[in-house]
Amino acid sequence: MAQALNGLEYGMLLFLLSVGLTLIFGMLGVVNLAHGSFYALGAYAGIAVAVFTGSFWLALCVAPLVVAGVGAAIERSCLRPLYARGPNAQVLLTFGFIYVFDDLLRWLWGSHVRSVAPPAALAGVVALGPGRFPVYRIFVILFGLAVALLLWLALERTRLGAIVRAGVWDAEMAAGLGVNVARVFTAVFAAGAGLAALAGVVAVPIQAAYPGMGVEILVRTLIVVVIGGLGSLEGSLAGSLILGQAETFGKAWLPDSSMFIIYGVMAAVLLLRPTGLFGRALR
Amino acid sequence: MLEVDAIHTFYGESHVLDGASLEVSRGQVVALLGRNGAGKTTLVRSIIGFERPRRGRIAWEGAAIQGQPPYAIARRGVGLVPQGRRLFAPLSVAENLVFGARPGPWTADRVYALFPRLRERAEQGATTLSGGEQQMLAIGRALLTNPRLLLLDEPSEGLAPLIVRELGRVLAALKGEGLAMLVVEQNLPLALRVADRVNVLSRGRVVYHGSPGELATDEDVKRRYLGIQ
Ligand SMILES: Nc1ncnc2c1ncn2[C@@H]1O[C@H](COP(=O)(O)OP(=O)(O)O)[C@@H](O)[C@H]1O
Ligand SMILES: [Mg+2]
Repeated sequence: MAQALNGLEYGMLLFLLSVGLTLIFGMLGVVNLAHGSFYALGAYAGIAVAVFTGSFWLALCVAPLVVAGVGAAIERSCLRPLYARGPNAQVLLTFGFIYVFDDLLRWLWGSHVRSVAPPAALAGVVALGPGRFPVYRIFVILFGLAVALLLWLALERTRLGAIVRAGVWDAEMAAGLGVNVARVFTAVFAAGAGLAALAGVVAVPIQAAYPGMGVEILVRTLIVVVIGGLGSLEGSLAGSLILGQAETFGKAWLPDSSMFIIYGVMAAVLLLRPTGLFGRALR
Repeated sequence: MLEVDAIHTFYGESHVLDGASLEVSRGQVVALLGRNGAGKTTLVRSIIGFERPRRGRIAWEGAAIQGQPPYAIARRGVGLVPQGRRLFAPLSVAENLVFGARPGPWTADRVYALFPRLRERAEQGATTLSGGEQQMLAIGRALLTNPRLLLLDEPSEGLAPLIVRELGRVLAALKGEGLAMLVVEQNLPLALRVADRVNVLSRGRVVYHGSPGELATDEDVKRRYLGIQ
């Protein structure tokens, strides 16, 4: 039971990360390899705000906004000039940003593991059947579900959401009907960066922050996107929940081969559905 | 209102439009004919701004628009019904219809009055429609941007003869409203019925232009450039 809840909580973190990555890929055609760096940047920025102001909640609001701003600046200044050149140049560029951010974080905060305690309201544990479960992890699960619901409403029920869904399908056609897709690209990239940072802040009281955290989570996030299908919110949620459970149970039962299990799950899904659970064939 | 003046458009090194020129005047329906691969779609893509011609000029209401981004050209009043329709599959019929809506005489209600089937299916996914209905949706979607010029790239492609006849009525009705259109067609009878002027494209150049009546009797042009015996 506790294991399943841990998996659910971890899955929610993966969802916050992968939903941005999958929408960015779907719309901009860019696999943003710096996505994990936004996660790490969010974690460290969150710690800074929490330490400076003493408020975890303020950190949860401010850090994602800051990182979203960083994401918007990167998209506009570095990625946008490269769209005409096709995806390779951009993927390479985002790869470069992994090192830039890694160095930046080490320079600013050193290589130590850092953490902050969960806010007082969410400290402690609750009894759950025979065992006990940290309140904060329950908060993460509910928070992830709330974000998923809000994102779904924003995508399905608003005009901007319709533009994003249309843009994931056929961005050129959206432009041909008068939509300034470049601006929407920036907004999607910034939102994805902000969500990754949100995951980073949320993760800090559980997993602490350390310089390699971005790359570590990037691999998982990419696998989630592949399992769920590129460009799909539903797929990103399903893939996150599956991988969250697979990795958590894998670590408990077969601690030495949990990575093997993750790749096994991915291979199994791809064998059954080559485009991922909610993916569509690329045109 | 639209003047395409000797444009050269490339895909990489492949030289597709080789000095193509044509004109559409206010309220006029101009047909663009030519064999597969002649460059018709490339010409349409150059007008809407999907491709940037390396040389030549495209003037819209007197101002050069070549090299401007597509959204800016669309907002100036150019509507696009692309080849293959390119509806947004993740969106419902209604969402597709109002996707690029801008204020003007065309409203969703007017489009629904023109194509009642779309109203019945408003909440369905766009790709659940039949081919003919999808084409009407693509036209409705472009009309709701309230264009002054409508670009239609092979609207009859893949449609059953009965539906093509209905399409002909729709195009005639739009023409009756004074909407200028550039219609790319392989269906010669349809093109000759609605067009005021006819252009024939071959290897990236307009090799013939005239009235529909002149082309209808010009067996030589029909045989050489349209493959009609
Ligand atoms: N995206 C593209 N990249 C490279 N070549 C293209 C592309 N699109 C079309 N072409 C080539 O350009 C020529 C003209 O194509 P197109 O404009 O689609 O012709 P049409 O619409 O008259 O059938 C063809 O030879 C086609 O193969
Ligand atoms: Mg064509």
